[in-house]
Amino acid sequence: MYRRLLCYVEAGETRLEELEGVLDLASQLQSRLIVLAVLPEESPDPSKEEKQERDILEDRTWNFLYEIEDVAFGRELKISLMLEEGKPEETIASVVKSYEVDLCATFLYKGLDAELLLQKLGSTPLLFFNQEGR
Amino acid sequence: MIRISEAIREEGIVLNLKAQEKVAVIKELVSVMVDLGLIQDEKTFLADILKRENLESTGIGLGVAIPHARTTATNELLLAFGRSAKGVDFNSLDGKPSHLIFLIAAPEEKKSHYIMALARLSKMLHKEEMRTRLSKAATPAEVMEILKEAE
Repeated sequence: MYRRLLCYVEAGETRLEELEGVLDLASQLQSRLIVLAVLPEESPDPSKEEKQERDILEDRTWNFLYEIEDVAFGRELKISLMLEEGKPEETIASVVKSYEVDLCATFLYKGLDAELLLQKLGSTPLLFFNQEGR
Repeated sequence: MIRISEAIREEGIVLNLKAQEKVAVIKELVSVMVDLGLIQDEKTFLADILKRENLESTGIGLGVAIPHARTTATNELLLAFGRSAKGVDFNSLDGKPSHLIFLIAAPEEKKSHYIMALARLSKMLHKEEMRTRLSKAATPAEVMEILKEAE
């Protein structure tokens, strides 16, 4: 029923333990887990410092995605990683539509407008996990 | 600091892959590593790579695939690169064939190096300019130069 489960993680996030609940859910539902992170759009003329900051953020995000992949592989979960650029709510909705995602999961990140995301997702169910991964 | 350009050799670069199907492409790149004397146990390495491949799509989209494994078959971080003009189906989420294929092998115990290499390579290949340059490179030496410059 839930063939594809999308989990949005904030760019720069590093707390792997919070993902436990999502990994458990993907395992129980036997879903393919798509882990998505979204980088903010790059300004047209970034300063040297802005470029460096973005570089570090991108490094940290890819590292985190592959940390998740490694844990998921240990649990024999089907997983795909995605790193996109843009506004999180729009990007999540676009990925949900493009890749026929059946269920969405995320966390109450400060940078995520939950109400807007619910609007954009339409009928796709959305689960919020807390910091204990529940 | 992990450097992609230090984990790959010119002899580990195949600009015109003969194989056209995922498993055959992986076998072709694995045999390149074996021929270089970099893999102690070909059978184990191939099994480790294919185990992951059966669970995941290592096609990361944008025409790129990064099959990878931590394995007891090597003592060092290794990369091989293959290019396919026709493209190979790596079950990418975007449904597009992969033209640029990087195979990564890392020792079981070097998890952090392995993750860093994957992250670094993914970041590099996410840039369109990088993919275009690798697609157009005429020689393995040119590929090496492109990787060094990107780092």
